[in-house]
Amino acid sequence: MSIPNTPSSGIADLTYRNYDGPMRTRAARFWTVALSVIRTNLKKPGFWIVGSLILLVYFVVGLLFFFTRNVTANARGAGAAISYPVAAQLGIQWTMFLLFIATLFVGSGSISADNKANALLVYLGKPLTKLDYLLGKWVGVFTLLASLTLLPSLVLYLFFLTSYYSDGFLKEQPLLGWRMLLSSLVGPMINSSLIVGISAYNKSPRTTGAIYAGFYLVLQALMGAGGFLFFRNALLDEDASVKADTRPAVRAATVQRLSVPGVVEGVSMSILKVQPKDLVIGGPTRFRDRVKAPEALPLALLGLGFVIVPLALARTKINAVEVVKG
Amino acid sequence: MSQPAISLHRVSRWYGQIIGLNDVTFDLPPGLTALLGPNGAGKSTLLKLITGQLKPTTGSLSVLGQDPFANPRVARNLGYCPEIDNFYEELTGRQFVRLLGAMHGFVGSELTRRVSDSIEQVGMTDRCDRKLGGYSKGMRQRIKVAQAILHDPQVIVLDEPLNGLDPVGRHEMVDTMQRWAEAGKCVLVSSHVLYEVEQITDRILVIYKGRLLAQGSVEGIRSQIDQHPHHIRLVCDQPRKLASALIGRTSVLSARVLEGLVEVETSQPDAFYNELPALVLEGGFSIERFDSPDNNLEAVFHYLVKS
Amino acid sequence: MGRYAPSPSYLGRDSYGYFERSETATCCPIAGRLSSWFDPGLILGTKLETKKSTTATFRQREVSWGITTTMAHVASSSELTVRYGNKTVLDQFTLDVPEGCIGLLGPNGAGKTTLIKTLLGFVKPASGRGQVLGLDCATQGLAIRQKIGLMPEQDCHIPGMNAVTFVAYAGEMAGMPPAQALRRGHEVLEWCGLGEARYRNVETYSTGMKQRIKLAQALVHGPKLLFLDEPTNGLDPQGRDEMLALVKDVSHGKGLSVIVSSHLLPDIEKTCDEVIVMRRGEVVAQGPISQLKQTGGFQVEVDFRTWSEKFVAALRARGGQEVWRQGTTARFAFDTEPTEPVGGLIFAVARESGAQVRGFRPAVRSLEDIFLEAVAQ
Repeated sequence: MSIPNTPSSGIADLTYRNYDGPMRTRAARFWTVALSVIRTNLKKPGFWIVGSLILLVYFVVGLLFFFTRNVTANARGAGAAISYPVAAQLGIQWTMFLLFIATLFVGSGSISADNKANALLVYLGKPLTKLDYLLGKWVGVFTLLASLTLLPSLVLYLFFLTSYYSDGFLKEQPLLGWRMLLSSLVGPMINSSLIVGISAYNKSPRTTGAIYAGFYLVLQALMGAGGFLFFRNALLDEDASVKADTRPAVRAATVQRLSVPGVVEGVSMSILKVQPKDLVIGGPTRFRDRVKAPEALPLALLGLGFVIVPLALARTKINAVEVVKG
Repeated sequence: MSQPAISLHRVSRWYGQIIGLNDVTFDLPPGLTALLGPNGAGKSTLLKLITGQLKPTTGSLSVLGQDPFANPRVARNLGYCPEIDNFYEELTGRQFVRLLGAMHGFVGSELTRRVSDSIEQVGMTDRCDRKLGGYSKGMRQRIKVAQAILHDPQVIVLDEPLNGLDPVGRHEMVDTMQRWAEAGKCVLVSSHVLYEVEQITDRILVIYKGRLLAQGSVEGIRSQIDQHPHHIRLVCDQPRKLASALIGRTSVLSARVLEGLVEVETSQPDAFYNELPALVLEGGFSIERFDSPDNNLEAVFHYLVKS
Repeated sequence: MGRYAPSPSYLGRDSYGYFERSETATCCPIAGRLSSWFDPGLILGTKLETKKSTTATFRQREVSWGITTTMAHVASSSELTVRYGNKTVLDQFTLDVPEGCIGLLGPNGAGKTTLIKTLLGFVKPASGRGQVLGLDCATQGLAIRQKIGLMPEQDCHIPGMNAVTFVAYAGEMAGMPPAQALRRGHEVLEWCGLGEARYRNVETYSTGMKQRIKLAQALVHGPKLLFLDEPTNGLDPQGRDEMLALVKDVSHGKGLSVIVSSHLLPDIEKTCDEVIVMRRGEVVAQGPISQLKQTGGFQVEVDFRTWSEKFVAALRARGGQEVWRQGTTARFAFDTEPTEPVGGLIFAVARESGAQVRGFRPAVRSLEDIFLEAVAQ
């Protein structure tokens, strides 16, 4: 303990005094970094705006569910009711773009702003390892993004639970809660890894955002177009040939989803056990039954790659020490 | 040269409502002059005006007889070494100096010769072929000075030129600057490090809160600061006796007795110093050392800025 | 989201509570709750603490040096060799840094920065050992950084924070509980002389203020050794005086050793008691400043009003040779110690030659001379 500063009668010594108070252990030192990321971003109004928009989308999904279930019960479109997992999947799909915007807000400055302000010099003098720093940044961004996806889907789940409990919701879908939890975490995990990885390589948050947006959107467009072409060819082949071989259609569906939003969509579809044909609400049903679900394994592997590769690259890029030659 | 190299007449410059310089008038002949002043006093405004980056809001200034604002003829004869530290990091030092030299209109073998000469003058010949990204602060500083003198200008303006240099490098840079002054150039150096400025030159310009506070030699300015009489400290074996002898003199304002020394205040330093030897020898005092602690630039600056 | 209020308790009693759960001192209430309810450090920390203590002592024994004087040296290295690629920066470097305020001098490229980086554990030495505060620098880098504070030379700050948040964050990173970090942050900022400006964003600060918060973030966790890299860089004369006063305050009598690396020798003279001069990866001079400054023989420096040749001639007649001259100051050397006291001699010669003498003192070598001589070998 440092010397207590209680003068018996006299003037207190206000010169520098040392700190000998309690110190924490090194465990979970990354959490300090994560908290700082969270604090900084909670202050931004953009974050709360995007959050409210996501909640709004889920609200619309809930409304859609309510109307298709109750209103069409006696009408001719009886089969138009959407199921619980489908509603959850719609929620994820329709908020994908908002999650992307949120990622840009939250993550583009995560390491880039530090690079710009030379903050690593401050971090290096403290007992923090590279891993602490990187993990802290990732956990911070992930926590923020996960709260944006988890909380609305929790609200949706509670809506199901409270409104349709008497309809046998829990008996019908005992594991839906866990599935929804898992599928809402996929998007944040991939997005946060990618943006933290990209921001480690840039000195400006804007460049990071631009690179990430480019990667996200261009890959989505390319794969979407490619997948569509494959699908068209697959349908033509199916029509032309005698046997019904659905493998090309499945492959087309997989190729179409080889991008960031596609991976999130595909993986959550397989977690929630939802078929693409269930996701089409209204509209022409000509090709509905011919659209096949994608293969889960390649998408999951790609998703894993999206998570691990940027973080590994970031770890090599973060240099505690700049070696100045000469 | 009869005409001063840099001449300002009632120059003021403000930014919106914020005043940068207020009614500044001075003439700078060739030679080495130091520009002093706290941060935010208007030094950078003054340097920008002289190098032609800004126009004065009122008043007139001339460098080498012409208005420097956006004037290529003045720019041809003016070398500027700024304080900022931004370079094209992928170029080597030599390429960078060459690029800036080419902008002066030099080509071919003359450009190469000038580049080599200026790099040699700053002492970077052995290290100039490495990329600027890997340079230390001192090396970047030298490259900046090299580009400022490549075209052999008549007026050289340097903003914090000794920043980042080690003592050896500082000596070399000071020697170089003094050589330029002896060659007849007008060199204006802006610096914060007062003890260095003392070694460089005796002529100073002090800017404070946008006004020109003082101009001239350190000693001349010191003798004009009336409200701070000169302090002189004498280390002696019989301080009390010495003090009482000194108090008797009219040139002495006060004499304070401290542990083993006497502190004297006088407003007539000349008279005091002239009669001190006689007083000491007659009184038989044994003086181990004496000096005037506030006769240096730091004290002068302190007095000017605080009063 | 609200300002930090400085804790009023630094004048009175301090209550250092271990892991107090009720503190919500962070600015955002949500994050504050987060940190006090769900805190992995709290959950994991208590268990790990007991485990770590045994391993820590075991490791310390493992790397014990067998040097009996570890306590007197805050840092030392023994045959340390550091290479960057195929360039050897430090070769068989042996150094002992005593307690107190030490100046580290050397030309650019002498290896000072490399030495500091190696001692902090960022650069692995090719061979040899180094220790800081009894901890081996190659293997215990994290523990070393717990006990030292580093004030870097370059401009660095963490974006989007004001000074209090920044310094408190630095303290938290060093392991202080958040409430203590905040309290201590205010205390250190107050000592550094940052008043109301501490609530403004760091990006709006002037150079002087930025240097102060760099010093504050180095001191907030109460280190035992402080590394200062060019502390007066870019400061105007007033800022320089204030910074040097702060360094002097912290280095004398507070249980803290300071190593100052600077090119400005008068600053080193004002604050440090001892200097170490390096050149090309080896120590060329080391010792207390007063000891290094002594000249051989008897020399005296005289200031004149105007240069007077008659004085010089008259003094030469009494045995004093002119050694050098700068402006109106000259140094004279006497072969043998003069029989009469120097003061009398100078004044007598002054009266005789009619020169106006404005000061004289026994000559000492300036730190600059020591440095230049040391590196010119």
